[in-house]
Amino acid sequence: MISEQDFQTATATFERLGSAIADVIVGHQDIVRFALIALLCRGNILFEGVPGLGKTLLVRTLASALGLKFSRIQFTPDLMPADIVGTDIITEENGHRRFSFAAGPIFAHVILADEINRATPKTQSALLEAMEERTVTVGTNTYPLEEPYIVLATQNPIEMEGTYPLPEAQIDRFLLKANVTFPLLDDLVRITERNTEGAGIQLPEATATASDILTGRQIVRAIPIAAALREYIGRLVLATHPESEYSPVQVKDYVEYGASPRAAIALVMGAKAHAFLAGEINVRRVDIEAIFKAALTHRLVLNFRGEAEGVSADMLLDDVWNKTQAN
Amino acid sequence: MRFDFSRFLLKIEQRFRRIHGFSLACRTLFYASIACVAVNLVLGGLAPERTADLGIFVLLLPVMLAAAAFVRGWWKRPDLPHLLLQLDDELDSGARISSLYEVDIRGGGSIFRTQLESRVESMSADWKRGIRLPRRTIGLLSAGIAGILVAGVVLMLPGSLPMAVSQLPTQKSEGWPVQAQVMPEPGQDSVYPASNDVAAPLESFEETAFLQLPSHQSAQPDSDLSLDSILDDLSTLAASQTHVGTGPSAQELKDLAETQGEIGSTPAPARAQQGHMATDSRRLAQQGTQALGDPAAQVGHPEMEQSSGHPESELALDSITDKLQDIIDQLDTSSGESAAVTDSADFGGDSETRPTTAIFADQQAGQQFLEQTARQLADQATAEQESTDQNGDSQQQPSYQRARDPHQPGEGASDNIQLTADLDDQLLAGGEDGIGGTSDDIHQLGEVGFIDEQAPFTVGTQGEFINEFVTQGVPVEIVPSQNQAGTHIIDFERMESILHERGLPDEGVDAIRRYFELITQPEGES
Repeated sequence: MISEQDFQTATATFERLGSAIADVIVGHQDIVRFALIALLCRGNILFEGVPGLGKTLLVRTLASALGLKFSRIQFTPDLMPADIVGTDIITEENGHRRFSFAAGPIFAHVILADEINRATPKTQSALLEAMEERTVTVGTNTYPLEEPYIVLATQNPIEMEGTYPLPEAQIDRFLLKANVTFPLLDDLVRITERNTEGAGIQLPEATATASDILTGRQIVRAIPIAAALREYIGRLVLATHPESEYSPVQVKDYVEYGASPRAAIALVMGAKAHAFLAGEINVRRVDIEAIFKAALTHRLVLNFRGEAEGVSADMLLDDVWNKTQAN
Repeated sequence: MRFDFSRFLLKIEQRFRRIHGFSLACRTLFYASIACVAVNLVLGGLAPERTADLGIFVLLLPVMLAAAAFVRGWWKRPDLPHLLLQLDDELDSGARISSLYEVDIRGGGSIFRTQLESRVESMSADWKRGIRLPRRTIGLLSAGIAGILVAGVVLMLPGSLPMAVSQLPTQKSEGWPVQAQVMPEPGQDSVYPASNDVAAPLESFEETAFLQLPSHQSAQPDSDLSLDSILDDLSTLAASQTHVGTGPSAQELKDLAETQGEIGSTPAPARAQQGHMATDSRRLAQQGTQALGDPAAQVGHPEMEQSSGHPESELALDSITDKLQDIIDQLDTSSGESAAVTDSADFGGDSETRPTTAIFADQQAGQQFLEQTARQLADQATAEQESTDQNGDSQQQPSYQRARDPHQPGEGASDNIQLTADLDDQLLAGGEDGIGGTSDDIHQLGEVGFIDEQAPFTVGTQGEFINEFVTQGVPVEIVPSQNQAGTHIIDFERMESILHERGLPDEGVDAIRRYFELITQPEGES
C-alpha cells in the first residue's frame, strides 16, 4: 500500500536526481528524463547520436547520482559474449582445482553499452537475457541480476563501417530510444566552460538509493490511467501497422512492420513514469505524447520504399499521432 | 463532507443524456421539418382541399418525431470512459475525472483516489461547461422551427404556395376562359354536363379546343363574317316574331356560306373561328329552341311544346332533329294518308340542294336531316305511288294542319306563306335567278350556290338571315310591307306547279307544303 508519504518522498527523490544530473549534463533535459523513465519502468534505453555529445557522460552521471554499481562495456567487433556475461574459469583452492564463475561487466546496476552496434550480433545477443529477464545464463547456471538494473546503450548513426545493426529482437527490448541531438549555442558555451575551467566535470554524489528506485517503480505502476487513454494507446500502436484500419496512408506506404505489444507497454509505463516525474497522480495525454516517439521510433521497420525515399520513422509517427483521435 | 463521485457521475450521465437526446431531437426536427415542407407542397398539389386534421397532423409530425428522437437519445446509455475523457479534455483537467473513474471501478483506496477526488471536487462546480449543447444543434433547432413555421404557413394560408401552384394554370388561363373545364370523355359530346346554359350540350369538342385558345385569338370577332350581328339580329327577330323583311344580298350569303365551309374544313389555324362559330351555334340553338315554340304550338304537338317551352333543357342537335322528324311523321299519320313524294333527285339530284328549311345549329347536321327527310319522302312516294296506282286515292290533305292554319293551300289566301325569322341555321339556297325564281329555275335546280342578287329586304328591321333558309328554286317574292324592309313571301302555288312539273306526286308536294307551313307563320301572327 502506497502511502502519501511514500509518494511525496519518491517524487522529491527523483526531483533531486534530475537536478543532480542536470548539473552535470548541459541541456538534454529530455534525454535525462527518458533515462529516468526507463529506470522507473524497469526498462532499458538506447541513445543514438554522433560521438562527443555526452552520451557516456550522461550514463556515468546517472549511475553516480543513483549511487549504484556501474559498468561500462565498450563494444568492439572482437568482443565476445563471455567478455560481457562472464565465464567459468579454473581456480585452485586448497590444492583442488575447480570451475568458478567469473561475472562479467553485465553484473551491475547500471550498464553502459557503448557503441553497441560495433559488436557482432552474437555478442549483442549476450545482452538479451539480461535486458529482459534480468538473468544471465552461463553454461548450465543462471545468475540473477540485482535490481535496479538498467542497460543504457549508445550507438553512432553515421559511422556505419564495421558496425552491425541491432537485430529487431534486441532493439525491441529497449524501452525507449532517445536521439541525442547537437547542443544549442548556449548549451555549447556552457559545456566548454565546464570542461575547460576549474576542476573539470565532477560527477554528482549519490542522491538516491536502490530502495528509492524500487519505491519509485512501485508508485509508477500504481499511477492510474484512464481506460479511454489505454485504448488510445492501443490505437496508436495499431496505427503503426500498415495492415491496420487505424494506420494512415504514409504508414501503409512506408512501413514494413509496426510496433510490437512491447511498444504499448512502453507507452503506458512511460506515460506513467512521465506523469510521476511531473508530479501528477494520473496519466494525461501530454504524458503519452511526451514519450510517444521515444517508445515507438526504434520499433518501426520501414520497407524498401521507405528506406529508398529516406522516410524517417519520426515523420511517420508524427502522422500517426496527428491522425489518431484520443476520444 | 466527502466528495460523492458516484453522484457526480450520475449528474454527468443525466446531462449527457439530455443533451444527446436534445441533439438527436433537433436533428430529427430539422430533417422532419424539411420533409414536412415537402409533404405540404406535395399535398398542396395533390389535395388542395385538405382538412384541418391533416394539416395539424402534418405539422405535429416533426414535433412528435423529435420527441421520439429525444426519448431515444435520452435512453441511450453513454460510454462513460470516453465521455469522461471528453469532459476532461473540455475542462482541461488532465484526465483526472476519467482516471478517478478508473480508480473507482477498480475499487480500493489509495492516495491516488484521495488526491484525484479532491482535485475533481475542486472543479466539479464548473463541470457543466464540459458538456455543452453543440452550436450545430442550436442551428438545427432554429432551422427545424423555421421549417415547421414555413410548413405551417404553406399549410394554413388559403392562398398558399401549393394551392397557388395548383391554381397556377387556371390563373394563367385567364386568357383561355374555360380551360378549367373538364374535357369530354371519349364518346361524350358535351363538355358542360351540368351547365345551366341551355346550349351547353351543343358544344362540341372543337368548341372546347377553341375555348382553350387564348382570348386574344377569339376575342376579336371576324368583321368579315359579321355573324355576331347576324345572330343578334336573329335573336331580336326571334323575340319579336317579326316578319320577314328585306334580306341581305345573295353575295353576302354566298360569302357567308363559303366562310363557314372553310371553317368546317380548316384545321388548327382556324380553330378560333370554329370556336367562334360553335359559340354562335350554341346561341343559335337556344334561339332555335325558342323558335320551335310557335310551330310546336301551331302543330299542337305536346312533346314539342314541352321541349321548346323549356329553354333550360338541354336540347341536343339530335333531339331537335328527332322532334322535327316526329312532327313530320305525325303530320303524315294524322292526315290519314301517305304523301306522294318524288325522288329527291327531282329537287336537283344533289344532297346539297334539299328543298327544306330547317332549324339546326349545325350545317352538317342540317344536311343530314335534309337527306334523311328527302330519303323518307322518296321512299314513301315510291310506296304510295304504287298504292295510288292501285287505289287511285292520292289527294288527301293533312286535316290536322288544315284545321290549324288558315293559310292552307287551297284556301286562297293561304298560298302565300310568310317565313318566320326564328329559324336557326343556314339553308342552302340556290338558283341563279335568285329569290322568287321563275319556272326556269326548274332546269337550274341541280346547281348549288347562293343567290347572287342583293336582297332588297331584311328580316325584321335589320336582319338579313332569312336568305339562308331559302333554297334555289323556291319561289320567293318580295312585297312591300309596312316596315321598311318589306315582306318575303313564298308563292306556294308556283312552287307547287314547279314540283308537279318535275313529276313529284301530289303526296310529295303536299308534304313539302306542310313542311313550309310548319316552319313559317302566316302574316299577322307575330
